[in-house]
Amino acid sequence: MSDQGLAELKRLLHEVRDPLNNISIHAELGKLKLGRGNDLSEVYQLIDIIINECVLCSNRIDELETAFKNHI
Amino acid sequence: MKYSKRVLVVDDDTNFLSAISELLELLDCKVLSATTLATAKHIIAETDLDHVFLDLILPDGSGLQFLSSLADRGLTNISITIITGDSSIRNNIKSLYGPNLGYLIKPITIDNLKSVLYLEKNKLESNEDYFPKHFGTLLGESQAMRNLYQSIEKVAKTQVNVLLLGESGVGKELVASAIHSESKNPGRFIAANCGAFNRELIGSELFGHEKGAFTGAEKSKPGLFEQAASGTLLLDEITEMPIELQPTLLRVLEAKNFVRVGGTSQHQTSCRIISATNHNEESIVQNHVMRHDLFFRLAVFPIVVPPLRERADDIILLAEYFLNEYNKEAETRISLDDESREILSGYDWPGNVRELRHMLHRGCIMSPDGEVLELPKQLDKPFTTHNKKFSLEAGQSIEDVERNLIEITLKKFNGDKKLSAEVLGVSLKTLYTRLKSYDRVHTTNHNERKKVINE
Repeated sequence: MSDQGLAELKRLLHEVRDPLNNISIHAELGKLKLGRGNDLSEVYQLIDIIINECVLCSNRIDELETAFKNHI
Repeated sequence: MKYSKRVLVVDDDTNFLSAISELLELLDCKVLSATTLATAKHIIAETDLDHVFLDLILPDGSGLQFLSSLADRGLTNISITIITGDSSIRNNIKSLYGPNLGYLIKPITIDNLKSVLYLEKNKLESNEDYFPKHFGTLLGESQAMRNLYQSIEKVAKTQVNVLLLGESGVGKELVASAIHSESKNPGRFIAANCGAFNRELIGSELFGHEKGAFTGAEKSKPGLFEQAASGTLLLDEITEMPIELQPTLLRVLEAKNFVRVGGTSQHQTSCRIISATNHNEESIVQNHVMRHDLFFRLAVFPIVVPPLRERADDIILLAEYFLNEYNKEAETRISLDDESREILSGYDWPGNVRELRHMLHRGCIMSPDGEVLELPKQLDKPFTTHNKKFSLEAGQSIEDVERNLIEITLKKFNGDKKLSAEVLGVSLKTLYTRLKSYDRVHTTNHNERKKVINE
């Protein structure tokens, strides 16, 4: 793999971490809110964001797979 | 635990920004947020802050520019936590801002946030830096260590025997201790050095003895297996155990019970055995230092602990940690300058982490002003066998440089020519042609040398 390819791989891997980070932080927030007895609708909103971020993460993995299909 | 801190979060991902701000507010922080570098700079000009969580890549600039702004304003007492996906960046940015800089690797958790805020509180009292340890014992964020952590997590869930393979000084005992603590077994962690066992008393050491079992056995004593009941027994330097004594251990591993020397009642073994050696698997077989049957009993799950040269990203982190330990003990404020960082990063550390620790200790003692670490200009070298860094010097021919580059690339990818050719940006055919030409030069030189000798 060329240096350019390695740099691209690093960039895409980095981008996969962003939605994972959102999933983690929204899940933590949801857990805290449930523990404190907050309104369930607030938690549902957080879960929706988590689902969207899962889809985004999946898209980025697809992108990664496509870009490096010859190396996988 | 109550926190009352003024915190700024700088990140252009609005979903993340909103969630982390709410989370920090629930942790009793007063939170300000910024999605751009310009807003963040404006906030620091107007507001007193205790802590900043910072993304490095912002739409109108870099987080590094923000660090420079803080330094320019003399605000280096504010704690900064960089939120990043790349741990290797830490070593590069540490010198830009100073000791109040930490980092969190994405994805982050509430425990991560609590730990940086909590440790900051301790830091004010004890002037400590923040060194996140894995399993309470292991330090390092390199890929080699992350792979090791995964193996530890997997094996800790089971009760199988583990064989730790690794060079001297890599920290095998710490890895064993990490497996024990992660396994949550209720018993103790007992470590024994098989090289130090007295030949005559090895049975007593391992299995204990009853009063009067032999001359000098004035009272009964539990052996290592009993001491480690329901816990973990580390048999360090297992290959130093004389081969003729190894059947004693093998029998216990097979039967899962033992009898104290001079005793009659059987005890069940209930501990996990972790054995460790500085031989690799090949060398164990070639040098006949362990019986095959014992090897297979002990090496149900072998783990290779990486040498320091294979986790070069961790060198500066470890160096700072040891320096911090020394500073605490000696009440000094010695730090690493850029030259020391370069020297430490450029050395291959044949004695591994142990050598690094001793080298730093020596450097601290030699430090002339008690402020900057004093290291030799070049670290030598009695055991050095690897040249980690590829260096360019005036006077080298292009051919030599090319050959050197090809050799270290092949070595890095374990001789995989296809992958090496891709990384080098040449065709596989070109790589083969180059290798053949080196071979030809080598043979010619060899023949010429033979000729000179014969003449």
